[in-house]
Amino acid sequence: MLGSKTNIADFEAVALPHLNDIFRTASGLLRNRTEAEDLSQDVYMHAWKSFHRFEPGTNCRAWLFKILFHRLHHHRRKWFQLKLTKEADLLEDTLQWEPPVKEQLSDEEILGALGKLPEDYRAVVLLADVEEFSYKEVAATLDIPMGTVMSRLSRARRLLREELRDTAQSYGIGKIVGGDAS
Amino acid sequence: MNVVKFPGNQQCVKVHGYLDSYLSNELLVETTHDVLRHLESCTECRQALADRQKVRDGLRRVVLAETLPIGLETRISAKLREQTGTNIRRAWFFTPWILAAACLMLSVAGSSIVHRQKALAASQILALGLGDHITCAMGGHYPPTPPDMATVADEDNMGAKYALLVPAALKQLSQFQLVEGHRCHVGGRTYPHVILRQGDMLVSLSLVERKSGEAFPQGLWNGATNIDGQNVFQGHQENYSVAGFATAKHFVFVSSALDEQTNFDLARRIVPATTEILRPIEASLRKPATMVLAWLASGSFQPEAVSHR
Repeated sequence: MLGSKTNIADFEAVALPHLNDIFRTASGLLRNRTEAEDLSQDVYMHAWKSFHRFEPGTNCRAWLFKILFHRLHHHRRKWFQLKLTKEADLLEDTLQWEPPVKEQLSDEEILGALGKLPEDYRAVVLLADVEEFSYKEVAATLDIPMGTVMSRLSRARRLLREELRDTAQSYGIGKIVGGDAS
Repeated sequence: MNVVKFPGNQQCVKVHGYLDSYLSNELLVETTHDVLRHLESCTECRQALADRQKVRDGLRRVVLAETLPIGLETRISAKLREQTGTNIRRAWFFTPWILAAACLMLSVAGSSIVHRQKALAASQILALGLGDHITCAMGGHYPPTPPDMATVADEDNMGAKYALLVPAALKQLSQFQLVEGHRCHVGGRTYPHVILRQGDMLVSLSLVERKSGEAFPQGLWNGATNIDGQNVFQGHQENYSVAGFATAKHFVFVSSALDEQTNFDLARRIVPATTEILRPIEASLRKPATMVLAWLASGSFQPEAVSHR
């Protein structure tokens, strides 16, 4: 029941250990620490309000992430309305050659590439690749089908690689990485 | 982007379609074997996988380095209690004097709850770093002469991967000598464990793999300092000090009978090297198959990269 002192302690004990994950993902999504902090606080206030519905022993982290995306969606209704490239386009039956990514990737380059991703792609890549949720968990968190998770993740990873590719090699200069030059 | 036809065959097309799911550990065992078989003989697909892995590892490295704003956890706790307080105020019809008394009572009760919660959570974590493990760390009986590195690296002791922590710790804490390096098993968990000494003072570096979803309750220790992108926490239990930090897959603890600040200063010196050593170990914990692929791609066998228990 809201307002119970015992419950606040219970809530903090199960929910606060995941604050770092929630904040980190919020920051990765919004690319703004102040907004991420506000959103994290909002997530915890709403989680507390619905804590009576949380079943002890179930996955608190996944529950908090679900609330995170619910609150994000509430605040930024247009967030998920970005028109995507036709996701079916990703299911190719021929391969295109991709230039290799750079040998050394700086933090700035990676953050820059992440920031350029469409936000719904960014959400999937943060959940799957950073927070290591399974496809099924990502689908449940974002309320999208598993096939959509897979296609968005594939597309997001490809966009990241394109941003981080080795420009020198794509122009035929620099060191050969993997394979021979013949 | 230039469209250049990939110089592979239909098998390459098929495997490329699996690479993202392979990277996410989402393939069936049989399909994984098919992918691995193909990668053994296909340089292009190995390079494609290596590129995906490189970007993924880089992304994890950068995003996981994001630190929590100082005091956020405390602010959330306060806000939770403020929300509860608001409910009480409404019930008492906003009478100023009653309100003041209520706030006072609430703040006293609230701080007591916060204190108890802090003590509980901190002691739980301290127990993870110390617990029964303190007996091994501080009260054990050790050989009179330090073991050589081959003995420490033996799989019956620390194992080759974690043994790298020994020279790293000795380099940073040059006034200390090695006493022992081994793995202890406490409470169903395994702790690679390095014990150092300076005179009669023992210092223990121990670590344990994080379970899924397990995290430090940040802000519940006596303090935290950001060192090299890591929040390093410090605390005290009974007569022992402990400093700890969390990497992607491990909790790392430095514990001793030194005062809290001195113990923390020792910990901060070994944070960067420890984090660096754990990085490839953590990559192999998650994806042993990828390490094999790295070996296949490099053409040189690295026993420490693939042997693990």
